[in-house]
Amino acid sequence: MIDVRNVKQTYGKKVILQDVTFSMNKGEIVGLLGPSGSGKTTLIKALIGMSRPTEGEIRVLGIKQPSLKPMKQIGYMAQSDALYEELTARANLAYFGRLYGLGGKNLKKRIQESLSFVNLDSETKKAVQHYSGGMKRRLSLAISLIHNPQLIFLDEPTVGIDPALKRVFWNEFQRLRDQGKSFLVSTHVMDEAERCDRLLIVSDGRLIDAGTPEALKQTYGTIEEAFLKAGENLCKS
Amino acid sequence: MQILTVAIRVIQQVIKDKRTLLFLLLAPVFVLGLLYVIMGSSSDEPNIGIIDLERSLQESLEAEAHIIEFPSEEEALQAMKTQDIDAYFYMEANTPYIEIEGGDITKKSPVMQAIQSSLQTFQKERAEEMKEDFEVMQDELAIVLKNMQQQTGQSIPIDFSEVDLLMEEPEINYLYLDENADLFDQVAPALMGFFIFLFVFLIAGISFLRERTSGTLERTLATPLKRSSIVFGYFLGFFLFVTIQTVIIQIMIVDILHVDRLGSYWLLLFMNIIVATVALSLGLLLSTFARTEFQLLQFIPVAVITQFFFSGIFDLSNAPGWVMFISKIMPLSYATDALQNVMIRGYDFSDIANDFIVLIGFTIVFILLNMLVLKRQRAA
Repeated sequence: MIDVRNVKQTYGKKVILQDVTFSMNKGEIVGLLGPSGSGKTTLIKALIGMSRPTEGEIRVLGIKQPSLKPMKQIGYMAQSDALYEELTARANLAYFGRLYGLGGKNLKKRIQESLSFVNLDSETKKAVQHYSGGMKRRLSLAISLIHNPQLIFLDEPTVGIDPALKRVFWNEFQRLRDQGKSFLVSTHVMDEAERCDRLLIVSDGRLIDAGTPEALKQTYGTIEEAFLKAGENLCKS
Repeated sequence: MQILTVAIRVIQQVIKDKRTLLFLLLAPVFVLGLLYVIMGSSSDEPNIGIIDLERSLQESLEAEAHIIEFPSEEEALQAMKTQDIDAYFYMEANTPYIEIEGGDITKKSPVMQAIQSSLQTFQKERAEEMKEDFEVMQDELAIVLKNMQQQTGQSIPIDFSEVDLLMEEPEINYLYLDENADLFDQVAPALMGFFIFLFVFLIAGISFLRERTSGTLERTLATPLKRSSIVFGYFLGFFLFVTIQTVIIQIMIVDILHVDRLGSYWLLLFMNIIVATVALSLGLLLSTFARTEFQLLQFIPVAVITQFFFSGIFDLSNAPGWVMFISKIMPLSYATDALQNVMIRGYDFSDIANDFIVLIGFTIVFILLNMLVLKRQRAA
């Protein structure tokens, strides 16, 4: 699904990512764990082809990024809600659905499915600007899944969502994974990290460790310890 | 198809945002209406004080200006200092003296015009009197000469040429506009172009900027959408409103305010839409270089107001070379040229084809640059 080799990303003189190498298989939920400012978002943006890596190579679904070719198979939920506030949830979904090439009955069906998945079916007539923070998050997630993508990038998807709904989300992620979809989820929340199949620990633009939550627990004691270790690295540099 | 999707979304957004829509459509009408009233409301009759003028001169001046009599120069000067009169006028021996307030330059030429024209009338009357006197003299001389002829028997040629001291008043004809045209008629085409440019620039620029600050541009670019499609989609979506706005502005100027128009209504509309197109592409482009709405507003003095100064509203024929050069690289110069020539001089399309080509060229360059700078948002 994803193959990243020696990726380095700089903005001006500032090095954001360095020596990033990892790969990801079909049907996996991979968590990107690390403190704020460690480069998680930059890595996700490079993976979806928004930026061109300064060095190294990124292949997504077998295609060298940046490229528009794999975009139809990629779902993306940004860290901040990127929604058209004047429009309704339905209009937002329809817009992005059409950009992914959906149309007609299929589009209608997907909009309905996505809305009920995120529990927004009853609020579709309201303009998004009247939504609560959690509702906007849910709509953003619905948009990232509208075109039934194979590979989904979620940048801190559950910020501002209550625990009950968070559980619903993760059950759904795992159900979709069992159908063969793959997820790369950035997070700094421990209970989410525990539900990933594999974790990549990011610190100061480098991958400092990787493994299943169980393996990391054996090394560090708890996942929290692994996370704090990453934070220490960041402070030192 | 993707272009259409973007365009439809832009249209939906603008329709939902009632305030923007009203601003887009009504602000130019309001501003132009105000300007029309302001520019038409200056009085043509200056207030002129006079001190002890000859009866006939005073009468001819009364036809041109509002007259106030003063017994002495001091009192006239006092009235001028309090701005009750714009000038005063008196004669000493055969020399006319004119004292002008000068603080308000718009009054200067009406004052001069009124006084000069009354002096002309006055002199013409004098000349006519002289002519009459001279003709009487000629007749008397002829009688004297005839008597001499009879007495002496000698033949004396009596052949006086016709007396013609006076030149008739010139007959004035206008190729374009006429003597009733006022300042607004002259600047209306330029103003029309400027307002279309300003409002379109603002709305398009701010919308595209908001798209960037809210993250929706990035989100939109994280789909299979091409960079060019979003630019053209925006273009197409706004084009609808821009066309409506242009039609409203033109209806306001041509149909409601009845500004003189010689050229074709449809050619004028077409050129206005071309102006809007340039503004649209420039607004979209410059919004890329602003991080906030405030920063975008900072472009207005540089990118829009300067264009207004250089666009031919002021006469630049004697300006130094570098000013001419700046004027040549500003889209609004070509826009104003075309609009003025169509509206006032009645040119047809072949006469303004050059302006048209340049404006389209600007649009294409701006769009291409925009696609290029969008690379910062999405690498491929």
